[in-house]
Amino acid sequence: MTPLLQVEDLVVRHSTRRGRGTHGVTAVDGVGLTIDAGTVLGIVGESGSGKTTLARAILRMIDPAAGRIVFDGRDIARLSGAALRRARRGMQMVFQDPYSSLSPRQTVGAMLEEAIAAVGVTDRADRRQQAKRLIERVGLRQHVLGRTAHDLSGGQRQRVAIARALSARPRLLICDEPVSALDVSVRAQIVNLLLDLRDDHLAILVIAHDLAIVRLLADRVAVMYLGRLVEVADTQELFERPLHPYTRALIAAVPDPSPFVEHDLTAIEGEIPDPAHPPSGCRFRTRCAFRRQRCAEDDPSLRSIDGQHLSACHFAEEISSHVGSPR
Amino acid sequence: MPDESGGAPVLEVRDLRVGAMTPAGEVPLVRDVSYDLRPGRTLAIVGESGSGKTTSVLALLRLFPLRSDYRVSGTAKFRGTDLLSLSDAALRRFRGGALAMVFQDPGTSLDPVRTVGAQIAEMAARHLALGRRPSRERAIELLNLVGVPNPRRAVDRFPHQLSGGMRQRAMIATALAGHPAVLIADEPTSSLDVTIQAQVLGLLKRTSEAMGLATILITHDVGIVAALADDVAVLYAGRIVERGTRDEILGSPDHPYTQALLASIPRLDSPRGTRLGSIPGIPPELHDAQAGCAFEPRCPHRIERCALERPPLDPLDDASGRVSACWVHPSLTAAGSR
Amino acid sequence: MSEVRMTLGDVAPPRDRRWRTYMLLPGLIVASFLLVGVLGPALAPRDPIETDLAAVLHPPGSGHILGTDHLGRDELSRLLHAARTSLEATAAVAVIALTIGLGVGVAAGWAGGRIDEVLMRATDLFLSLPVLVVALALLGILGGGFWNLVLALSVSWWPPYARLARGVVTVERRQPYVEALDLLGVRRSRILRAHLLPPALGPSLVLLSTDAGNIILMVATLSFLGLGITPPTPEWGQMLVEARPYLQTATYLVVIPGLCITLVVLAANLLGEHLAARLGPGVELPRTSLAARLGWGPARGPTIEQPESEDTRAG
Repeated sequence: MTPLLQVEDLVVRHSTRRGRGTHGVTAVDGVGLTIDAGTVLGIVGESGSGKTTLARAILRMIDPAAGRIVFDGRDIARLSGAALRRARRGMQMVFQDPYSSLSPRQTVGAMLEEAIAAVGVTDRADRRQQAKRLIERVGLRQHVLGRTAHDLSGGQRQRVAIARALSARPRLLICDEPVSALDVSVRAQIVNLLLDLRDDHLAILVIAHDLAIVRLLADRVAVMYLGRLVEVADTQELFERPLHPYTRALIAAVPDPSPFVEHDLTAIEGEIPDPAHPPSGCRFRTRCAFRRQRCAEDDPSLRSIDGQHLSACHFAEEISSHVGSPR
Repeated sequence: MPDESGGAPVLEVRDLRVGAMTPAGEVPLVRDVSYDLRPGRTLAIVGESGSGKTTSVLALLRLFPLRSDYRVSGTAKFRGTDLLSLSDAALRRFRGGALAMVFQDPGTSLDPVRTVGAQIAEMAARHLALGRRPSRERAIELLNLVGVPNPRRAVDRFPHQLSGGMRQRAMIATALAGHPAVLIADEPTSSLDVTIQAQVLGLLKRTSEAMGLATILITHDVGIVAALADDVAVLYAGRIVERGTRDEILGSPDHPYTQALLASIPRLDSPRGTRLGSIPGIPPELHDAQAGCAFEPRCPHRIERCALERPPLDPLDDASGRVSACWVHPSLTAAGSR
Repeated sequence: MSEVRMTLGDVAPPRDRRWRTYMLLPGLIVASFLLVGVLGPALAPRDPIETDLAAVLHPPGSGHILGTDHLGRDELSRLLHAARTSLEATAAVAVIALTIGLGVGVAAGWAGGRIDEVLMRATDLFLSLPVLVVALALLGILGGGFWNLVLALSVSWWPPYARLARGVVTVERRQPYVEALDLLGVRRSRILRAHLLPPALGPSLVLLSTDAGNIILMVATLSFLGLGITPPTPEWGQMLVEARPYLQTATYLVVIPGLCITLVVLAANLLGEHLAARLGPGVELPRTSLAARLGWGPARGPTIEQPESEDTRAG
C-alpha cells in the first residue's frame, strides 16, 4: 500500500541577516518520513529541532530547498499556483495558538461556511448544514456557531480550528503543538478528540514537545534534533527501548507525576547548539553521555537497527543493551 | 501542616484575600488562602488559569502593575512581621532580599539594557551592603553556583546574549544574591525546553536544599510538583480546595477537582489510545457570588448540600495537616470500597 | 499559561459621566456644522453672492440678522453657504486621501518585499513634504478653485493613512488565521477584501476623525491666503481676509467667520481625539493634545480578563 505522505531528503533553509552578511540556517537537513493513511505520526523535538519548519514545509507554507514531498502520489515540492492548491487540498493544519488561529471578526458559523465555500459548496443551505455537522463532530454545541472567537475559551477555539480544518475534508491533519497553549485539564479534551478522529481514519501528523501527549496519540514517533531525525520507531518500541542517547535524555527529562518515588533530577548537560553552527560529526555529541572519538569525526546517518526501528547513532546497538528504559 | 522537618514556619499566610477594583465593583481573585511555609520545604501551589495562584504570591510582595487598583487583606507574617501591613518603603527592604522571586519568562523579567552581572550585583549590594568590587565577585560566584559556564565572561553579558536556560539561571542567581530565606518561583520552567527544564529543576532543588530555602513553587505541571514539592496546595477559583503533603495529594487526592485534574494528565506509561479523563463544564466567572462550592457544577460527586453551602477546609484525619474543602470527601468514602 | 491578566486597559472609570458632559458641547458644535453644511443653502435667507451696494457694511440688525459685508451681501447667507463649501472640500480631501492611503498601504502590506519597500519609500517622500508649502506651490501653478484646492491637499494628506494601513496589513497577514485561510483555498481577493481591509479601515477612520479638524483649518487657511476657494463662492477663510480692512469699522465681519472657524476646528479636534482614545487600539492620545492637557483622556484601570470557560459536553 502506498503511503499517504512520503517525504524524501527534505532540506529547508532560513536565511537571516544578522550583523554583517547573510547567515543561512538549515532548519531541516535531509529529513525523510512516511505516513500511511489513517495512522498517526508524532514528531518530537525541542527548540532548534526544525519540527515546525518541517510541518510548514510539508504544507508548502515555506519552500523547500531540496527534496520531495509526495502526497497522494504527487510530488508537491515543485508545484505552485492553482496546481499546488489543488494537490495540497487534502492536507490541513491546526496551529498552536488558538487565539490567533481564528479570525477575530467572524462568527464561528461564518468561518466554517467560508471554509466550506472554498471547497466548492455553492448552496447556502448546504453550507449551513455542513457547518452544523462539523461543530457537532468536534463536540461543541450549536450555539457556538453564533459566537465570535473572542467569546470562546482556548479549548473551544481549538475545537473550532479543528472543525475548520475538517471542512476541507482533509486526509491528513497536521497539528503543530495542538495543546501546549491550553490549560492542563482542557488538553485532555482535545487529545480525546484527536483520538476520535484517528479512529475515523484520519491520518494525523502531531508535532509536540510533550512526550506524554505524543505517546498517547501516535502510532509511530520520530525524534528530531537540530534539523535531523535521530530516531524513528513504533511508539511503544521507542518509549520502552530508545536507541538514541537523545531520546533517552528526553524521556528521562520528563518529570514523572507519580508520588512516593524519589525523583532523580539529573539531566544531560549543555545547551542546545546554535542551529546555524551545528557541531561537527554527530550533532548531539556535545551533550551525549555515550560519546566517543568517532562521534566528532563521523556524522551518523539514520539506519535500521531492528526492523522498523531506526536510529542515527553509531552505537545504537550498545545502547540497546543498556539497562532497559531510562526511567 | 505536618510538623516533621522544617521547624517553625518562616512564612505564615492567613486569610489572604485579593480583589481587583473594576467599574463593576470589586472582583475577588483570591479568597481565604492560608498556609504555612517551613524552611527547607517546598510548597507547590497548583492551579490552572484563573485560579489565582500567581495573584496570591504577587500580593505577598506587592508586585502588581503600576497604577492598578487592588485590595489586599489578611496577614502574611514573615518571621513575625506582617508583610501586608508594611509601607512600600519597608517592604522594599524585604523584596529581593529575604524574599526573592523568580518569574516565568526571563526574557521579559530581566532588564534588557543592563548586564546580568550588574543586576545580580545590585541585589547583593543592596541587601548585603557590599561594595562595588565585592558585589561583582559575588555575582560571579553566584553565576558559577547556578551552573553558568565561564562566569567571568557571562557576568558582562546582556540577557539577550544568553540562551533561555542561561537567562533563567541568571534570574535565579539574582534571586539568590540577597541571601533569601524564601524563594517564590512562578512557573520557572514553563518557557524552557524539556531537557533544559530538567537542568533548571535540578538546580532549584539542589540550591533549595543546600541553602535551606523555603520555596513556594507555582505550577500547573503535576510532574514538576512530584519532582520538587514537599507540600501541595491546590487552588480553584481563588480558594485553596485541598492542601497536604505531596504524597498525600498525588497519591490519594480527596477533592474532586484534584482527582479530576490528576486524571486528565497523560503519563509516559499510559498505553497508546487511552482516553484521558476531562472535566466537563466551566470554571466559574469571577464575579459570581456563589453560596455553595465553586466546583459544584462540574463535580461528579456532588450532593444537594454542595450548591447551598460552601464546604470549609476540613482536616481529613487528625494526625496529618491534610485538609480538603468538600462535603463528600471521596477519598475517604472510596477507601472503604477499594 | 496566563493567569487572570491584570492589564492596564481602557476601562471607562466612573469619570465617564463627566466626559459625556464635556463632549456634549463639541459634539453639538460638530453636529451643527454637519447639519448646516448639508442643509445650509436651503436655510439661507438670501443669495450669498447677490450684492447690494446700498446696504454696505450694515451691522447685525433687522433685515440682515448678521449684517452685510463690504459689498452688501448678506453675512448669514454667506456663512451658511461657506459651511457647505468647507464640508464638501473636507469630505473630498478625506475620501481621496483615504482611498489613496488604503490602496498604497494594503498593497504594500500584502506584497511585502521589494514592492513594500518601494511603496513605503514613496510614502515617506510624500510624508516629508510640508503640506502648506506643497499646496501653495500647486495652487500657485494651477490657480485657485475648489477642485484644485482638493487636489493640492489630497496629494500630501494620504501618507499617514498608507503607513497605518500597511502596518495593520503586515501584521494581520502573518497571523495564523490568514495562513489557515490560504491553506483552505480561500481566494486571495476574498482574503484581502473580507479579512485585511476591515482591520485597516478601522484605525484609518479613527485617524480621520482627528484629522478632519485639520483639513477644515487648512482649507480656510489656503482660502485666507487667497489661493483656495475663489470668490465669489463664500468660504470662511476667504471671508476673513476680505473683512480684514474693516477690522475696526465693522469688527463683526472679522469676528463672526473667525469664530466659526475656531469653534468648528476646535470641536472637531476634541471630538476626534476623544473618539480616537476610546475606539482606537494603539491610537494614543498625543500628550501635547488639548484633550490630554485638559485631562479629558480616559483614566487607566485594571481590566479583568475572564478565566477560560469550557462549554462542551462531557468527555
